[in-house]
Amino acid sequence: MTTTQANPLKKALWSRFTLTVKDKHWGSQALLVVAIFLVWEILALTIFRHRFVLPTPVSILSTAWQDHFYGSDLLTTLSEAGPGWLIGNGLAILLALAVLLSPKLESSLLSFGVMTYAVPTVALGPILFIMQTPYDAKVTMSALSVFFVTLIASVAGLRAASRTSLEMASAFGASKLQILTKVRIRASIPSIAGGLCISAPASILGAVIGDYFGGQSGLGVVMLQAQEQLSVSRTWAIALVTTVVSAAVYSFTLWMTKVFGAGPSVGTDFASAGVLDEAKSRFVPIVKTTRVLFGLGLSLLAWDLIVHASGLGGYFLKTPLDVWHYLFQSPAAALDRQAVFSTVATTLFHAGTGWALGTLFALIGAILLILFPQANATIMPLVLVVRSVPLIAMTPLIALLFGRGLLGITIIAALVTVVPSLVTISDGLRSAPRTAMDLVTSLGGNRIQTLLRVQSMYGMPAIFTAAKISMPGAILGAVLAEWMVSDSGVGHAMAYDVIGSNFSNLWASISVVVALSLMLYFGVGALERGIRSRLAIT
Amino acid sequence: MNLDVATPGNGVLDSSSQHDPLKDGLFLNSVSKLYKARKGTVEALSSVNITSDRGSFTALLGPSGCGKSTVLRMMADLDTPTSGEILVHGEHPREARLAHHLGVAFQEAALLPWKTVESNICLPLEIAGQTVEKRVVHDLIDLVGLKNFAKALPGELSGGMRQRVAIARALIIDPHVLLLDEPFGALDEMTRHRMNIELQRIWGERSATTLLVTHSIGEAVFLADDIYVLSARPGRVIKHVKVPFERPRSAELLRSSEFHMLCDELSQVLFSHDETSADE
Repeated sequence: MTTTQANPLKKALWSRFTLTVKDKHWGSQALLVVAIFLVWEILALTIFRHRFVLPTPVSILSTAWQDHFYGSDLLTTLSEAGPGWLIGNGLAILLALAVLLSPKLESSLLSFGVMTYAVPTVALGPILFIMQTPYDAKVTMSALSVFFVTLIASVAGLRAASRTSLEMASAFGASKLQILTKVRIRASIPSIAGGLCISAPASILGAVIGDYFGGQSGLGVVMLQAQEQLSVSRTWAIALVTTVVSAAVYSFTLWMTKVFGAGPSVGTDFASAGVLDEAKSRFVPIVKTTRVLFGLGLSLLAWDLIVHASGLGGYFLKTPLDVWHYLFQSPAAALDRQAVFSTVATTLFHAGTGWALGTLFALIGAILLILFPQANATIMPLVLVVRSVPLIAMTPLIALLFGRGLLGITIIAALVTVVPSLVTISDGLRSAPRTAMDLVTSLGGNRIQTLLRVQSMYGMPAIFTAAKISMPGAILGAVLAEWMVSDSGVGHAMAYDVIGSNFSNLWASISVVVALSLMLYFGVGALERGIRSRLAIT
Repeated sequence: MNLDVATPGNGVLDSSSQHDPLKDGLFLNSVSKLYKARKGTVEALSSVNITSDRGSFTALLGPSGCGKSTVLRMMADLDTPTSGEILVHGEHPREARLAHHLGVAFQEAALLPWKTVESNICLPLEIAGQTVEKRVVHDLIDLVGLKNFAKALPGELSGGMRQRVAIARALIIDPHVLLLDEPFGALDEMTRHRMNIELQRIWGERSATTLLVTHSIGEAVFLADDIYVLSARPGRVIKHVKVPFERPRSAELLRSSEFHMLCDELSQVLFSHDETSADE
């Protein structure tokens, strides 16, 4: 018996290995990476020679070598990210299981998830550092960074079992428990595995941002030090190590889930999840809105309870009512409100510009990938890996390259937008049915006509799907960049609030940013549903 | 009827060695198709020869996976043969495709869900940059029996109605060659019968050279002038039959003994070949 049980695993391992070796695209991918480094080396030696912001890859590598690849800092970060990843994913999967108990909970759960996603981790950091030990605070930030991705992936997964497979199981006389374990949970595995993969690098991001608030070692800590020492090549070297480690943990998780036979679905972005309500009644929008609001209400209640339970209320922590009072009822409310809103408006401008830029590039990229499908097989896997790189953690580096003004902040917001949007829009364009495209071809249409007449329509809703996630993402990116490198926007104001212990203003700013992100998420979600039903594309 | 099993890839061209392939409706000369697989190559089609007259109706009959759809896709320039020559109305498929001389309908209607029936039918005109009078479009919609559905969206139609739209769309540019890949394959038997009778009527009013790919023997016998039978993979022509029945063919033909005899003989060809290849 042992041999028969061992065989499938061995077989899976072996087939993975042979597949990687046989994969005909890995050669061209390696070539592309080498080419990028070559161009970089040449640029650094020529155009950027006297500007000290772009060292050559060779000098970056030699710095990393001299610094022993930041091994001890890397271990610290991983020791924070690991538990964070476990806790965040565990909570997300547990909460997602609630959907099995009652599908009605989905919208409420989703609104809670979006809320955790929209909270600027950077603003929560100082407060967590007050409440917890630095290590625990970093673990919490790491857990917070992974929660939303896996929650959405798990909810989508637990609903992935097809109606026919469920009916078939019950026709065979399967009990409720058997249906749950053998059909529903089985069907959810690829999606949950995908969430686990994508959240692996996200947990590193959380830990690195945590480093910005203090600590003895960690990738974020050395990055800040390098920046303070104006050591350009060290900043780059740390960024490179972080990138490689992020890609590595992503690939490792992907590989592990494959070895265990999970066949993770990581090709599509999880932004598309959460629009799964199948009912077609015209009351659906009302019912859904009610559920979303219910979820938000529960979240506010939970916030209130946590503040009271912690015993830190009043000074460090503010309840939702405190925030309301600060913004709308206190004698100075009008002035305070205006101050918060004006800084948020600046942030919105930064985020909006970055988002538009990022989406534009994503759109151009997706179209180019359609028009030159040969490039797709080489570039897309690289894009999927780049997606896993915690770009936000590169803020000091980007500030170095593009300055601390509008350009730097915009670029960070754009970078946060461009990769996930490229994946989502590209998937959308590709979701056009093969036969419809064949038809246009057989009628004498060329590739551009196929793109314009068929694929573009399937790509249209995907732009909104991407925006739903990337708009709050761009705001988060802008807030972080403002906090760290700029002198304007709500991020800068928050950093100032922490220094000046103006926690009322800090909480008010967090609340306004979260409220804005929620409105964007659900507003764009409604637009997306509208355009999908208008185009009759599901 | 004398139904000798023809030697694979042979015999069909011998009788027509003097004629000019440029004047044929369909012309396939020893067409083969190899696919690269993980281990070596797979032969999908082996030296297929097909000829038909202009304006005639040809059916390509064969078991699932015999490569009959590949034949159609190569005629539509959606795929290219590994070796051999293909002409449709004397043109290379690519020329025919780029000159908008082809009309195609697949098993999936492949309608654009955001366009009305009318604008779905007009899609080929948009691609070709041609215009026709509104009357022509409406006549065609009448012809396929969708008079009251010109403004409907595909999501509001039944499966049979969607296939009618697909066929009307294939006919709007007056194609030289009409390529039908199991257009009624996903429909129920009753609807399928009705659609076949209508297809014959519609086809009778147009002069397109037609190729129908199907795995239904009855459908092939009912509709076609010529039937080519392909073997299981690698697909080879194992039989060419000229169907003797007068047109227009009616539903009564379906009940006649001649019809059933021909169907039986064809199914014997299909099944006996299946057994011999299984023994190999």
